[in-house]
Amino acid sequence: MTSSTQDGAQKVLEVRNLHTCFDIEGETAWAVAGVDFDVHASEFLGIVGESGSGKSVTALSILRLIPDPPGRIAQGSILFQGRDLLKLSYADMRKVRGREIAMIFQEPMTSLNPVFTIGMQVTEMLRHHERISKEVADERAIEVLERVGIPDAHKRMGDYPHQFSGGMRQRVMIAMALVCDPAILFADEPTTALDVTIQAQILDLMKDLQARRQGAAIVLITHDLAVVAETCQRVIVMYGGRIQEVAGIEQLFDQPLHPYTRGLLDSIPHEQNKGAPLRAIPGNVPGILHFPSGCKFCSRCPDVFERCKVEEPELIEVRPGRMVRCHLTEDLA
Amino acid sequence: MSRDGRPLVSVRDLKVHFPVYGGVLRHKIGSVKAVDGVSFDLRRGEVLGLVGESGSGKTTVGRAIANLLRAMSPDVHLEGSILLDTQDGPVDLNGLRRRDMNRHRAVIQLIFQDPYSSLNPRMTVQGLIERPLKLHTTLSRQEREERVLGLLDRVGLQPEYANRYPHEFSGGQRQRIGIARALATRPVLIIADEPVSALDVSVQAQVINLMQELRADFGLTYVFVAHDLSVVYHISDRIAVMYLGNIVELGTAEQVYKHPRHPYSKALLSSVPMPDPRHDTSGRIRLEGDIPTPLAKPSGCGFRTRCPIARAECARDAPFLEDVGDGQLVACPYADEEPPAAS
Repeated sequence: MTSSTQDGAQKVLEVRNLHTCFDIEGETAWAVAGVDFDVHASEFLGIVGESGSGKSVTALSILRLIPDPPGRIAQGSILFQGRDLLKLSYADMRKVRGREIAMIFQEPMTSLNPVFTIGMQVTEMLRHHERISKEVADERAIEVLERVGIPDAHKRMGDYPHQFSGGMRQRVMIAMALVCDPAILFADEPTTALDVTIQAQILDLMKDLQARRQGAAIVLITHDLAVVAETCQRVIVMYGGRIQEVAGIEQLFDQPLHPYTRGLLDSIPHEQNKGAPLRAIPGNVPGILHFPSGCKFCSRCPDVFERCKVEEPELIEVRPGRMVRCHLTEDLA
Repeated sequence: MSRDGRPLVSVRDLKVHFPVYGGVLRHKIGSVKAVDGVSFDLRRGEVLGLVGESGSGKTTVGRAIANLLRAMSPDVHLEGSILLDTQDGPVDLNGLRRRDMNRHRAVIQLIFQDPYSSLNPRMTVQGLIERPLKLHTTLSRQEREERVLGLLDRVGLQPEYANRYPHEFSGGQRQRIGIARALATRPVLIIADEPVSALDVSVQAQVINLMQELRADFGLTYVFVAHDLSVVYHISDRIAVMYLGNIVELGTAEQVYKHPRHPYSKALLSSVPMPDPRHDTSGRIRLEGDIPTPLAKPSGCGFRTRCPIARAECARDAPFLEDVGDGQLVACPYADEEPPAAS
């Protein structure tokens, strides 16, 4: 059950007013402080942010993998196929997780169980979700391992994770995530721990899979704008637990509207200005308990004025598909 | 006599082999050839970028120059020479005994990747920055305090931070403390091992800018070890590309970044994602597989198992660095040949 947006794209996931907090030293830290967005069918969506932006916690909240305590999803709704994931029972959520919505993580070694073979781990997912024989499960597992580019997949089913290199392990993780053909795949920094030639292989693989799998969406969570530029069609920029900007990939790089997005783009070294001082964003990302009131970015913003410190701007759609949370762009709407 | 013409450090045929133990009796079963015959000159005042993937040996070269390997792994096997140009003539740092090395430590300082684990959590900022001064200088307590305050100011930290502990600071601030500590003894050479890769994107640019300023102000020479090629290009005068313990290409930043000649450098650079959604990746050279383990290095050229233009001779002859024009050094006799067209 999917609904359509104005431009005809089908929504597969609707996140509304999501709030997730953690109890830290007796205080409540709002890691995700009111996040609204949609995931469209067949899209490659990026969520960009630095540490503490709330990008990973957003994904973990959608999969309901927030450790409780100290964490808690305090508010909001996550509509997937007509159901609110936040209202599902634990057992029903297990049926969604892995089968309908899957996730891969940064560290492939810590996400794979070292004492089980790759074959057992890939088929476990299948047999958990589908009533099929071991033989059929093995066949499907070999097929998906081949699809993610593992040579001699049928021979390697009996190998253990330590027998694979870092890049191959990440391919196994992707195979496990795809084996049930989920509608949405969340990938949290999937290439950050990999070397750049291996990163290129994995990004190619993800682009290829996204193009070939009808209707399935990939949500890539990363701090790396170059990785986003290479893969994503649409981007959400987060800072301080809030969405600050949403844009199509070319719009974002051509004309960033939020001062934070501009700052991020300016701080990347470019070929043309080799050696020249980079236009860095001043200051540091505040600790999660220390974001300012008003606009979360006001303590580091070069364009800050009085109103920013007392009143947080709304996330406003300034153009179709283009949203910004900044007092300076409110008149654009 | 002027020392301007001579290189600050000359590395000649450096080999670093770490023994590997196995079996019930933990006897030596082999060795990891982390660095396997590396030669280069480090010029006074330059920034030399060392790039390569994990296992390439780039970090080990940096640590060898700082003479830290023996302390980290007493069984390490070192060969070759690392000549440091000093007022009393050249000194071979490789294999220098600890007591003799300590005389040169003040000259060579390090900045580490992880600002969380490289600062002793039980020392104040004052204590951390002051420590090399206690070890290497005869400054009085008051002089040391003044030096620390001056350094804090220079790296952009407030003087009242001197009495705080590392956990009170963010990653970027800690890296500034690490830089202040490295500068304390007024070194000539700084080995910076992935100094910005653990930092948030918005903070990376601040630290890169700071390192550039300090270099200009103090006439520092940097060995900048990193895997992020756009950052290395930005800060470096020359770049050395390493693969499996060897330098495969060495040239000016422009030569290596814009016109790489070695097939590995070409593949490495074409793999770098660009912050430009219209960047065309169709010409990308895709390397198959992963870097082999340095425990079982291929014979001949180490890159041949992944090389798009490898041929039978590559298994036999180990290539050496040759000038391919304008001082650009490339370790591949077939460098300019095109890979066979994909069928």
